[in-house]
Amino acid sequence: MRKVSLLVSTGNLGDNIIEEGSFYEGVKRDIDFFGADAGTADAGPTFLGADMPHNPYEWERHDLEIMLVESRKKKVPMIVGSCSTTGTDRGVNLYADIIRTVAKERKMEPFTMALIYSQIPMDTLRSRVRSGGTEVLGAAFPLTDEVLDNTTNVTASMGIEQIVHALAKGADVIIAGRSCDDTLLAAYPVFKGFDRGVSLHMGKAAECASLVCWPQKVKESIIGTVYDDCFTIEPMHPDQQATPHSVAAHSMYERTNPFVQALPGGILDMHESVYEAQTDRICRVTGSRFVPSPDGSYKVKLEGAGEAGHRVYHLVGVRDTRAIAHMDQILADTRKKVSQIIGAHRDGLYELLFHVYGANAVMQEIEPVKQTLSHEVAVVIEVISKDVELATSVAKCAKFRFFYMSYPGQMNSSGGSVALLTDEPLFPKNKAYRWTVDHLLTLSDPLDPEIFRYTFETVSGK
Amino acid sequence: MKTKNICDLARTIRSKNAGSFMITLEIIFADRGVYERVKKSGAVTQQAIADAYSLPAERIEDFMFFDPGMGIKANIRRRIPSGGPGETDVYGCQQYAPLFALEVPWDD
Repeated sequence: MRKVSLLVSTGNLGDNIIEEGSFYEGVKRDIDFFGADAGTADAGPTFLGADMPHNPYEWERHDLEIMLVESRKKKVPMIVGSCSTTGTDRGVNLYADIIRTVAKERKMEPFTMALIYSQIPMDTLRSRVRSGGTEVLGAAFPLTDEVLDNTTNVTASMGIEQIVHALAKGADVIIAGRSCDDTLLAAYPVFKGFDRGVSLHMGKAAECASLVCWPQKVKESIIGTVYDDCFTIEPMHPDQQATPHSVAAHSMYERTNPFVQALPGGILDMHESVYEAQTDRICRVTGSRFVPSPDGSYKVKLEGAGEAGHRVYHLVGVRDTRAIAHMDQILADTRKKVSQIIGAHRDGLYELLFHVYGANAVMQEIEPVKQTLSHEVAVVIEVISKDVELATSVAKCAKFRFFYMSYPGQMNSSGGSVALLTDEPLFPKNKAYRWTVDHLLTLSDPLDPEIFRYTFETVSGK
Repeated sequence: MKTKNICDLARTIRSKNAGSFMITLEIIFADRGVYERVKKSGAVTQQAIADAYSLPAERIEDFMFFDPGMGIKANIRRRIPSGGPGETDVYGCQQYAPLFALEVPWDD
């Protein structure tokens, strides 16, 4: 029976290191390719907005090195996508350099490395938006000039076709920009002629490595194997099992809908998927189907973030239960007074936020508990502004006015109402960023050279 | 009628980002019989989850039972996208606690 097997060891390359025990257990098996996605938007918008790494270099290098060494020993492809969390051009270049460095240090035989860039220049995006090529996805707003002006970096998430193109050109190692994690892992089986639906569901099940198995462990290796009419998941850690329940439940993880997954060119339909135990440790899945877009369209997801401004904090504590009982009024009074002092004409130049830990900071407007029972609360005063001096003044003003607040039933005298954690305001190292683009871009050609750009090179340690 | 609390019936109750603009809520069961009984009870609905959060029902989107995973799922759209100014749960992973209020009729 023909098959293709994938060793996947991490759902997020570089955000911690791959566990080596189960990795080398997997390496003993008959593996046809190594794959890993390094991306996540979960980490927040700062890393894309500022185009900076989320992970320590040594963790990224650790994972890339063990994958490269073992994939070259076996002479099988290694496919890595969404480099350095965000998949920007910087991320692709960083990983490419690690591959070149390791190859040299290890004196490796020559191999072909493909780099696939998927960051979109802002001018290209503007012209695509003007010609009507974009539509909303997760974001509830259209890509207006104002949104684009407040966006610094945008990537397109590639699907199967872009990876297959690199494989067809003979790439041994593929270092890709932003990618859909399931298509990244499905591309090689599809390239080898296996069914798209089966391959995609394998990719989806395997994309977080050992998280698809129970008991849950992170950074342990699993093997996903695609056959003509089914796929299987098998953990390499001896204590784990891939059960029909664990694999099905993983379809829910971080998704709004466990039955349908949209991807460039169509959907993965899992309504008819059947999860069965092949052994007590191996789960087999049949019935998953790829359904091409009814209109034949090919749409890729755009992800973009931009700068919101400088961020300045004061962290203050309140232990007075009579003050806690009137917190809403105190915050409203403080806000009003800050506006008066800073000047109402500057209200639009900053955002002043109060996060009341101990009351509703974590859930905010969806918090059903309206009155805290806590005997103390922490109020995080957060100010965002393009002008760091203004942000600092507003934070200091809010802290000062808070200190002199008054409320019904007050027992202390003015000037004793908050416990300051630090005498000075707190300044994070980086500015604040926000997600600005979560949209679809329609492509007439999946290999659109303005969106996906390729380089091929021979890497040799000799 | 006696009830059982959802925490005594489910294996996992969690929330997580589903993209940067949505939070997905999940209740997962370990036992097929318990899952089916909860599903049939009619106690866990879009409205019941909305009540647990004191939100209007339309804020609880895509409510569904997912039989293969023995799970119940629903989504809440974020007021502010993850990680931006004013947003306080970057991973969306601490938004499930109100689900602990769900009670299921259970006579034995």
